[in-house]
Amino acid sequence: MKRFREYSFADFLVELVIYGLFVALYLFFVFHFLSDWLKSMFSENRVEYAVVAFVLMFVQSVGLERLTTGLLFLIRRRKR
Amino acid sequence: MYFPISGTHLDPLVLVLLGFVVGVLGGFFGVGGSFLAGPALFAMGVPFNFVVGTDLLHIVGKSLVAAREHYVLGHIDLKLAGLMVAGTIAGSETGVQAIEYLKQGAHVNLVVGIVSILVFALIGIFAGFEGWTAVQSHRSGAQESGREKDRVAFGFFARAMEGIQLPPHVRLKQSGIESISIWSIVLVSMISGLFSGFLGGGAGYIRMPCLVYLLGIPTHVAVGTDLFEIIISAGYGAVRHAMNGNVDILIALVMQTGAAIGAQTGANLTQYFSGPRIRLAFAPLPILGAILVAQKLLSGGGH
Repeated sequence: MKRFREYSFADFLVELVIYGLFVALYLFFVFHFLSDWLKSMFSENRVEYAVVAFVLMFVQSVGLERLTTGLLFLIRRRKR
Repeated sequence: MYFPISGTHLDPLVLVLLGFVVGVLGGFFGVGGSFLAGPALFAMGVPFNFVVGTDLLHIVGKSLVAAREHYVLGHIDLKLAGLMVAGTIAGSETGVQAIEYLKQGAHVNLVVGIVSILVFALIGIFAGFEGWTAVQSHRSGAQESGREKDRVAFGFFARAMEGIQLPPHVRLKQSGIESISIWSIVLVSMISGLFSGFLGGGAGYIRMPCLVYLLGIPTHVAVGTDLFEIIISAGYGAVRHAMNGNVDILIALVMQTGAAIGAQTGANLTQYFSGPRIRLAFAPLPILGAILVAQKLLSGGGH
């Protein structure tokens, strides 16, 4: 519990800016490379689309959770 | 920006911001936030069938992050969550079938809308009254620790459920419950699953209060365990909707980027508030949901 109490609003803003940069870059790649593929899959094979959609959401969630945890860790380490 | 799957033009920054707000609510209260995200997506121009499915998939992603945060904080009772899975899925399927039955008539939206308003309003009023009473009682009390700090004003509901003698019984160590009938847990999970299938979303707005008031689970553990259960109920619904062509994965992915950091923020915020204060702050959310549904019905959405 104590580790989170050390997390200030300024830390949150720093995390938000770094996170925003990563996410903007990530979304650019998703739309650039996956958009057409997902659209054609949606039109042709719904079962495959459902599985891919769930897996993509799972992978992104785990990835972003790792990213936010990693950023939190780095910000805390920088403060010591 | 154009989203080709649903054929809509949406501002991705607004989607990220919406995801962030819903993420904070989810991390803090353990709710999926469908009562807010659904109407917001609809207002932005997303077709209603895509609203329901896309919102469910985004909820899965957001709940995964928030549940992970709560797991690290020790706020998930895995034994309770595991016991609830079957009841949640059975209840959810019953709710879906009830919708299919109502679809045969002409007023499915009106019926679902009125039920939503009644349920949301009752939960909001009850949680607000109970939270306020518990906060007042906490203020007037002496130095308290542990479960006493998370005192529930209407504890007799939970004591009555714990008093059910129908075997088998289980011990929920993480929740501090020595013995409770499995049937009480199944009943609560079925009720919440039923609302999830009938009204949409993860039904955290009803599961979280049920866990606290009916099973006597400490608020922080109820929030974490509820999020775990939302992953199951919303995940099941999302896959079914995706197979029926009701999910725009690109919208869900954009929203989830905001929700991920919002969920982490909300989960960490729970440590600064006592259980009764979290429940008191939760009270306006179902009432807001009731107002949004009423507004939609009055503007002709019931037909």
